[in-house]
Amino acid sequence: MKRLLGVALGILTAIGGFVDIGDLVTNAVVGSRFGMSLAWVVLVGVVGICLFANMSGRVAAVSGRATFEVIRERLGPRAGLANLGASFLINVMTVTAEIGGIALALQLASGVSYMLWVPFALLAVWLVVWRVKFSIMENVTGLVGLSLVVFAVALFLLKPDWGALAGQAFALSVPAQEGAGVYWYYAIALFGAAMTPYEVFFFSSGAVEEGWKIKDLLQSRINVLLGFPLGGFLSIAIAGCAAVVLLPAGISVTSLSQVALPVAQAGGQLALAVLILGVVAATFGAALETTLSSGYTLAQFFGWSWGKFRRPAQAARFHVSMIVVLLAGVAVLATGVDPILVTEYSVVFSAIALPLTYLPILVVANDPQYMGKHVNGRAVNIAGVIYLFIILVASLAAIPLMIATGAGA
Amino acid sequence: MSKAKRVQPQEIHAAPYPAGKVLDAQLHLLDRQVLDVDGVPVTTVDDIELSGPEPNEKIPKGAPAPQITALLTGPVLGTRIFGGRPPSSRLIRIPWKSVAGVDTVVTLGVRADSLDASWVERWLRTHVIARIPGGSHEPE
Amino acid sequence: MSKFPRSRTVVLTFLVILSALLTGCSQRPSAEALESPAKEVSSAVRAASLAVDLRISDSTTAAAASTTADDMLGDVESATDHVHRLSAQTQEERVLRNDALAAFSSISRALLHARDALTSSSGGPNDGQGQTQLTTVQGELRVATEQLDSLMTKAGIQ
Repeated sequence: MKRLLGVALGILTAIGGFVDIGDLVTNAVVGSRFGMSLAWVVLVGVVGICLFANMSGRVAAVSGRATFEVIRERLGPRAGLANLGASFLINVMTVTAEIGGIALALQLASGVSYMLWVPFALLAVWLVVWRVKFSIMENVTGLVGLSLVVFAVALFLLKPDWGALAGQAFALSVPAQEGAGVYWYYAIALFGAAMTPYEVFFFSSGAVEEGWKIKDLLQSRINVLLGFPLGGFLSIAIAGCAAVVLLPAGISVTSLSQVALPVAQAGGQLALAVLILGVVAATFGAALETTLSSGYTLAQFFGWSWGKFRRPAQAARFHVSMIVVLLAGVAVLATGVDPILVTEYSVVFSAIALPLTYLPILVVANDPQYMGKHVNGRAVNIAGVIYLFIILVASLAAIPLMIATGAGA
Repeated sequence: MSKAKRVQPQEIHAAPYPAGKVLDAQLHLLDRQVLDVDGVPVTTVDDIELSGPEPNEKIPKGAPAPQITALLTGPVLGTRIFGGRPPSSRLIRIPWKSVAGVDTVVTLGVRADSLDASWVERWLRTHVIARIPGGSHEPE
Repeated sequence: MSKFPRSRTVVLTFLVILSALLTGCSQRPSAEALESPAKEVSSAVRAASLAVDLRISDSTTAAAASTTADDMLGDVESATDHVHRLSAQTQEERVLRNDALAAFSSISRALLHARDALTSSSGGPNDGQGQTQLTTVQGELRVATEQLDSLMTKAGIQ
């Protein structure tokens, strides 16, 4: 019974933890401009993140080594440092976006400008990173984040023409009013949002934090294989709400308050309240994950002691670097830059940096010195290589498309 | 290629018979995580220091084979990435005699706090982390 | 070996950025140049109208609706700035630009009124005065939307 409960808890937190500000914004923007015609990208992204999260979890459980230690050992200091630089920059960008997301959600709840909420959000995130146990942190934000199911409920309440929505999703064509370049630019953004590399750093370091052993692998596999697809389903529901209400009304999403309009229309103030709760929890959880991920990557590259299972005094460099990252994120927000804009760029840059994270994982998962008899099977390797190819194409196409389309304008 | 001077067989000595485990410095030591006797991460092996002749120096006949004297860490990493050589006095050394084992990680037989390599950690601990309330408590 | 191509890439990148800046500055208010700001404003005013409608039917809170109005006001301001930077040379272009700016500014005004009405209408649907205020604002937004729509049709922006 207790074991079953553990499995259920794991799945629920995986669902709630899947969606972050990047998924929220990108899916709503895409839904309001392209309808359901990019839903397939979420599908492709979810399969990819399942594949690689599983692999990095297995590496961590079998070898006890987290992703970034392995990246440096395999790539050497030069390529490793370049990789660290790129991953760290994207992590800081994502931290900025998530803290902005918490503040924007609190503005939606209170009507008070988000700028005033930023310091509050910063303090709350830091306190949790500083004091709260890893498992509690994960479970609480994941479970509360589950209230984003309100998007799926809202979609049903809106009584859409399901046939037309499915038609958009399966047509696989560029809508008439938008250009092909913009379509593919947002396809890459959506892919980056679904496959964000920080999830992998976090997942593998989390496995070390929670002391996973080989026998825990089954549970982690169930969590990933059920939780992430259901999280992806939530992402599609966000796009669906925007496609049903905002697209026909000629509204294209530029702010978080617009994302809430369809939910309010479908379910009134109660749904709106649940939505805000969900957004705060999801962005808060993601802010914690990205802050920790930036600490993890630095500490693992330089061999510092790290982890929330240690007292802060026993992981001093790890904690100091996280404080610096949080302050840097808030400094960026203090310039008055639109957090939604930061989010949109962060998902595209994530897509650009994806090969840096995923290639070393694939290599190490095949190394018997680390993995013993738990090296990748043939099927996993074939899927891994196919995905690496997709990731590489997306990564190479991202910058030219960004310039050509003026970042999707 | 074919014009290269052929090495006369009598000039080559057989490799010394390995007394135990064979380690490839590049593969098994460099960039490996270093853990102390309690399993606490200390640093990464950023470089290694060898005894014996300097580079470009003529090796006298019958000189003893170079030995690893220390694992190096800290700013020396920059020289592996960008080139150059730091002055010997600036190197942060972990003496090879405190290494207890080499596997996928390098384990030491001493505590991290007794090493020069952990000075940044100790400095930040006393000057930053210890001044913030809750820094020395278990997470709840 | 790598020195020459690298410097060439740097120069090329620089030229691309420079030309982009130059075309950006000297862009003229053709229907094409107006398309993106006009669409942005059209989307903004429709979102604000939806928020007001939802507030009238008590589906949303005053805080959320006024946040929407405030965000949309920001979008219209940035679009207005964009159009201000276009330099008109012919008489025709000048007329087009001024028409667009006029439409944007009446939308801006309507949005301001909407935001104020939404912030002060905390009484909800039972607050009779608040309801009348919101209905007035709703009408104002609608008129401003129509003005922009007819301008967009005239300029050939769909």
